Amino acid sequence: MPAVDTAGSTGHARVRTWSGRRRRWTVLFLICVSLGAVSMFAIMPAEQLFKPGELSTPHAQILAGAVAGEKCGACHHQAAFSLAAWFQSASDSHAAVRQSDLCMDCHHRTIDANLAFAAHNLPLSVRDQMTETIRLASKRSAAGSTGLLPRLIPDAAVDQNDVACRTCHQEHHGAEGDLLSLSNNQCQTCHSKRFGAFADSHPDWKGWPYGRGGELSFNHATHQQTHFPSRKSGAEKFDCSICHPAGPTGELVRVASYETSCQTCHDEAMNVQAGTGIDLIALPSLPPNALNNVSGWPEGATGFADGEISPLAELMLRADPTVTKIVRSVPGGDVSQLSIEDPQTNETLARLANGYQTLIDDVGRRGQSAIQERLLELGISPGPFQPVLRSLSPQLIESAGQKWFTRTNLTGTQSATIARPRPKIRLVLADDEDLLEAELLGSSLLGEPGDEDELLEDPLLQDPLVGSKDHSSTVVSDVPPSELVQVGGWYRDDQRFAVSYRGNGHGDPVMVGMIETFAQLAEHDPLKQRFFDAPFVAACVSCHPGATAVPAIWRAKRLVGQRSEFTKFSHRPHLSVSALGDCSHCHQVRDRRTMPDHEFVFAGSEFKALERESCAACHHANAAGEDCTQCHRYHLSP
Amino acid sequence: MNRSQGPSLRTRRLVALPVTLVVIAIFWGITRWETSRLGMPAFFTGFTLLAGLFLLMLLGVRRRLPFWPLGSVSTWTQIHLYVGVFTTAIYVLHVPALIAGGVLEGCLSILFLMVTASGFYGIYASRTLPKKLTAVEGQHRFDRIDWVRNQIAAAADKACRQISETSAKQVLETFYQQALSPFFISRPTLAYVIAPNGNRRRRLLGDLKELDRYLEDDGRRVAGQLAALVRRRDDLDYQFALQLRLRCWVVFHSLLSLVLLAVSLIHMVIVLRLVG
Amino acid sequence: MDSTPTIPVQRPSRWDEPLDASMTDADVAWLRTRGPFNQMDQSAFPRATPLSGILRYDCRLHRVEPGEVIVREGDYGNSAFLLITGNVRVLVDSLTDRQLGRQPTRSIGWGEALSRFLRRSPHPETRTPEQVSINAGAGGHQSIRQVDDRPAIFLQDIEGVLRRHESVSLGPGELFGEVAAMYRSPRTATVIAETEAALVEIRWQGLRILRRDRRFADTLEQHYRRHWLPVHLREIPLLRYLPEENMQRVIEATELRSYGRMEWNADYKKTRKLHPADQIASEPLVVDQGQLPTELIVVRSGFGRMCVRHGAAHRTVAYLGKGHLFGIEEIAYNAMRPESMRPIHYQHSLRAVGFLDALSIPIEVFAAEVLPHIRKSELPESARSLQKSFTEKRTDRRRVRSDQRSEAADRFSPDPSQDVEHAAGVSFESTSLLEFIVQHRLNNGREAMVIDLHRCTRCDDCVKACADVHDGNPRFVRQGIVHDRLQFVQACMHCSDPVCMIGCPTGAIARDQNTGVVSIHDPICVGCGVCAAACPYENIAMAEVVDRKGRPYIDEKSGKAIRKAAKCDQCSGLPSGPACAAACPHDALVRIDLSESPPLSQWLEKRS
Repeated sequence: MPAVDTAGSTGHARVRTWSGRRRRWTVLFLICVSLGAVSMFAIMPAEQLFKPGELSTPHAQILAGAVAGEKCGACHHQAAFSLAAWFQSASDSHAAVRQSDLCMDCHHRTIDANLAFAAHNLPLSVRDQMTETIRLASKRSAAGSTGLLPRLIPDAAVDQNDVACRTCHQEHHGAEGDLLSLSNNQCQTCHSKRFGAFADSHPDWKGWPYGRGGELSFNHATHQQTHFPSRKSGAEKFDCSICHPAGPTGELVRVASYETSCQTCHDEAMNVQAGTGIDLIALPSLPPNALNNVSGWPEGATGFADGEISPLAELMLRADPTVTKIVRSVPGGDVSQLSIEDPQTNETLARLANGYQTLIDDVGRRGQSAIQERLLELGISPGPFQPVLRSLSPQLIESAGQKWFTRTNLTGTQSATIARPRPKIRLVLADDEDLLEAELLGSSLLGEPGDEDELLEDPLLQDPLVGSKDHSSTVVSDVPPSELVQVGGWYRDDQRFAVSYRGNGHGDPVMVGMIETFAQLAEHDPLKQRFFDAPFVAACVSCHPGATAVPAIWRAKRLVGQRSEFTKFSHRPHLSVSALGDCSHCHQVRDRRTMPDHEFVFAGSEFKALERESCAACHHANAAGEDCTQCHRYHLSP
Repeated sequence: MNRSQGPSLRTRRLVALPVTLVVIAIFWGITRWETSRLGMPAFFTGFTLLAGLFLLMLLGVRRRLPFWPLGSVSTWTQIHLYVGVFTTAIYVLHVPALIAGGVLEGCLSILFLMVTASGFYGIYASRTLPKKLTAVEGQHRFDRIDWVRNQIAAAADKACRQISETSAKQVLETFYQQALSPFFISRPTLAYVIAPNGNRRRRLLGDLKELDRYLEDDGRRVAGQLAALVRRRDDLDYQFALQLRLRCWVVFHSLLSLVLLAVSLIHMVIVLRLVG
Repeated sequence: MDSTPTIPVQRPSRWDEPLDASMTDADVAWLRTRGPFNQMDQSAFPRATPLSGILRYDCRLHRVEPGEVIVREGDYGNSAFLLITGNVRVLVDSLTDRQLGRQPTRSIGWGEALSRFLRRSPHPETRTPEQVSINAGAGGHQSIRQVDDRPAIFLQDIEGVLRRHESVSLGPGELFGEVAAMYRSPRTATVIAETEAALVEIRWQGLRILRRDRRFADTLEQHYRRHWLPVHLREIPLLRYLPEENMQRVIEATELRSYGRMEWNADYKKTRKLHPADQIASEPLVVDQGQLPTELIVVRSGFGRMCVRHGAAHRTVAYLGKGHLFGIEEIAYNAMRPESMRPIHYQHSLRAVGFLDALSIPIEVFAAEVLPHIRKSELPESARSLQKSFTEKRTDRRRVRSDQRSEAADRFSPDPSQDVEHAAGVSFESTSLLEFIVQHRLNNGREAMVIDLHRCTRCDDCVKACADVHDGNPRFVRQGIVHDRLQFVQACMHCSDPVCMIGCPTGAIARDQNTGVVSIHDPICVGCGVCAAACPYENIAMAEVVDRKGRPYIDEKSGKAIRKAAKCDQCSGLPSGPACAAACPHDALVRIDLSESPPLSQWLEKRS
């Protein structure tokens, strides 16, 4: 066989060699592929062709309606699918625009645009401060041991003052793609203090979750260990779910309403504590020699200097420039404290008496505006006081004046009363309806404002015209006047020469209005002290310590869903574990009976500290997980 | 002869495979590292993949440059194999899902998987089919198979003609016309080429044997010749089928890899352009 | 095969094929009047082969013209030349390839390799006019001319060549080329005709019978012993540390033996089909198993089969090639054994495969002169344990010999400082592979192409690569004899006994002195086809050549197509080295030296 018999064939027909056939197939195939590619370009819109994967559902829905060309452009500023643009540098025309800026076009509602790209949306100074705090804390404690693993976590590849959104949120990973998934290492890469497994090396927390609230004052220890066992000899169990029931979403309500949780025990006591109510005006008893220049001071209020200037009255009187100093000079508002020897005393008391008269006259004549003006005079916002005004009829004051003072120059007041701008009140009521609704509807005696006005108006209007003083006095003598308003309301006590308000039940709007008004006074104003020390006020404030703040906090804030804290927690998923249905599995109240008082106080909380171990029992890699993002949020907003 | 020295094939495999695995592990570590520091590991793995693809394509380049001392093709094949394994691993690190979501990316990943699969099949075929080929009698060159087929057909024809006995002539010629002639003249069916089997051969040989009782000595001798030719022809077809398979997968693999490279370049351009 | 009817044929006789059928009785008679034939003793010749017969059948008369190259250095030939009239010059220096009309192997750069690849011809076997004939390029001078209906190659500018090169003039009656003819070794010098001269070419068969004449034989013997035996002995690696005086004694004692037929390649086609037993039986016996060792056999050229009786037949255990030793184990053992132990006999028989030229060193000389100067590590295992008493004598003499040895070392032999391995023959684990290789004379191959069929995917990349670097013409076919998983492909093996080179009229097929690659020099290839016919492995093809446009070249005189021999040139000169081996993607193909076993056995071991 000759060595170069190439074809080896019969020699007649030229047979195509394998490589020749292969070359032909290659050309044919490549032509087919390029034709296919071209037709694909022709048929499919570019953005559909080049989309690397489905967007997550929320983003996809937003873009569903967008015009074809804008779909990519909504997030990619470079999206220009013209061939010419491809050959230009991508950064030319849009030098300043970045993808993250486009994200903020929509997300500026939840994230502060100014701090959007700062780590944790916190300014650098705050972060530096926190870092320093943590550094010092970890220096002090040997705990929080750092093993080998945390050291293996690399340092971040991002500038912490300019974190692009896509650093963590990566799109185009399918409709079900998780935009929020982030590994522990990824979280910790920016952090100077790192740790490994949650159970072993997560730093201890102090006191959390306790001591974060304070809006309501409630001592779990005393309730559990003293009050509940002692009441009805322990017939009613101390049950967490009474006050912390599961809400409609399954999440625990932070505090249930007063009615469901406290009322049974506290309503009665609270009414007792409220007593006969709070005085608006109570004329003090003044010595006769001080009344020389005072006309018509009632006989019954003449004698030794005695009686207190009620806090409300003092507030009103302060606004009268002629009496301001006088009022302030009375120590503790108690006129009996004034020295009789002091020659000034009589003068003081006389001016005080005039002040009272002017006040009553003023209110009787000008009604609510008089009071509002006085409050404004003191620099106090009259807003919170409106529920008080709304329920307080000026005619009541007017009639008191007519009844108590032996003067008859009250024609002006008549007209003022008639001129009372009723529609305005309605308007105000309507405005504040939603604010007050909850409190008012349950316990308020004011069913329909209109009706009430009629009811109140009738006797007051008739009263002076008929002039049946005796008749009324005989009625008064039968029943103490405070008992006339058993379900609460304003009343006049002619015995004490007082106009008072008797509160009723929880959430009385008038009381709320008064408390919020007084809360506006300066911290060390003795008047404020006096007001809040009053038993009927203390009945509110002892449980609502936040009420003294401005603005007043009456209700416990919902903590779930708050965006201001790094740590987040929801009871809902935990309750599906049967063992955790028992609250005391995690939350154990300290035993007051076995614990010395001082220790109890210094412990800071009536709960035993919630140890990391109790979380770590489930929260490890193989069970409930130990992702940072399970308990911590990244985006903080105030 | 230095060519006969060097490590044995087994040693080479025992060294290269762990080395590949170590390199894969290192790259896996780097990817993890980059992921942990919130970097963009997709860039790292992506460019590694592209470099891997180019390195893999170099085998084809080397094959077409036989006139330069660029290292033996077998060395390049070894590099190709292990880089292929490596690139497959990097691919897994690179993609979020084995088959990506988008149209272009989906095509790209399907292409990649097809090229990879054909590559792995290629290793398997290249290591198993030669032994089967060797086991069959006659080492035919692929380009000459048609010629040999014609030779066998001609030999069969000639054998059939040389029968002198009339009885045998009738029996054998009928059989030749009906069964053997189509078999010898036609090329093997596509089904046989795809999955060669012994059915055809057994059937024909069985039928031939069946004829023996109608034949005398001369006829039997011819029938024996024909049976030998059937065997030769079947062996030839078997060789043809296996050699064709060995050649076709290379074509498939290399054609798709061209397209793969083109599409991955498009992918790269788009990504670099749109990254935010 | 039971052919009972007999066919009467004439038994082939010694002179069925005369060297030159045109020799006449007158020529013979004339020759017998010239020296040295006129002084030869007729009675010394056997009756069957008289002197006149030798002159008639084994000789040829040549007329050479001035400047004609008669023999070239490096050529293989099987005939000697006797000068009748005229003068010839033996050139002491080597002539350049170019002077002999050969293209020296040129190292091709990367750029040229690329441009060659890119400018491959679309037609098979394309040649430029310069490649077709050396005469085409050389203006008025004709390097190749017909001299009495045979092509002959002429030196250009003879005077210049003779001036520049040292030369020895030979006159009538002098013989040259006999060593190459008798001992199958390359010609050692180039001989050119100085004047018009008449020569008698005597082929080696005739030469051998002529040695029956004592005077003639003595002349030859002395010449050989003086000039060539020392060279041949020094080529034996085992003797490389031998001091000069010892060497002289070895030279005196050594005898030269020849076995078998020089033209083994002519018989090969028949014998390869023989049953191994018949084949072995037909091979001339050199040494028989079981004899008491009397001499160490050193294979000088040709091949030997070492076999051992196994059951009713002989089993081959190794084959011997140039430089291999037979009997060293037994001789070393016997020489070193204490008196108390019995001597051992030859463990194997040695037979000549084809032909075998052997040097035989008598055991006494070997023991006395050689054995003390052999490295212990090179001694056979059995003798090593007995060797202690010999070590002291020779430690200081070693270095003296080593540098002289390196000059005389065979060019293809390994570094002399290394131990000589397998000096006693070549063997494989698989006897069948061994038998196969010997049976098919593959042991001749120095660069045999072997394919591992268990890894070869039949992709033909090797053929494609070969074609790509050879202008589109593959120089081998991927087919060949198969043994087990090995295929011995029909590609030139660049044999250690290159029979193809014998008889080339112009020296167009030549072996590179440095690399051992046998290649064809196209410009002086006359297309006679002698080489293709001589190659027993059919690895040389004759191809009709065309120009780049596909037009065939034809001889201007006869109008016949010009043919050139084509074969593997081992890609010599190309930067890539053998492209076939480099192109194999699966480590299946290798160019390997089969004249020794370690390369093949190591290669097989690698893939076990």
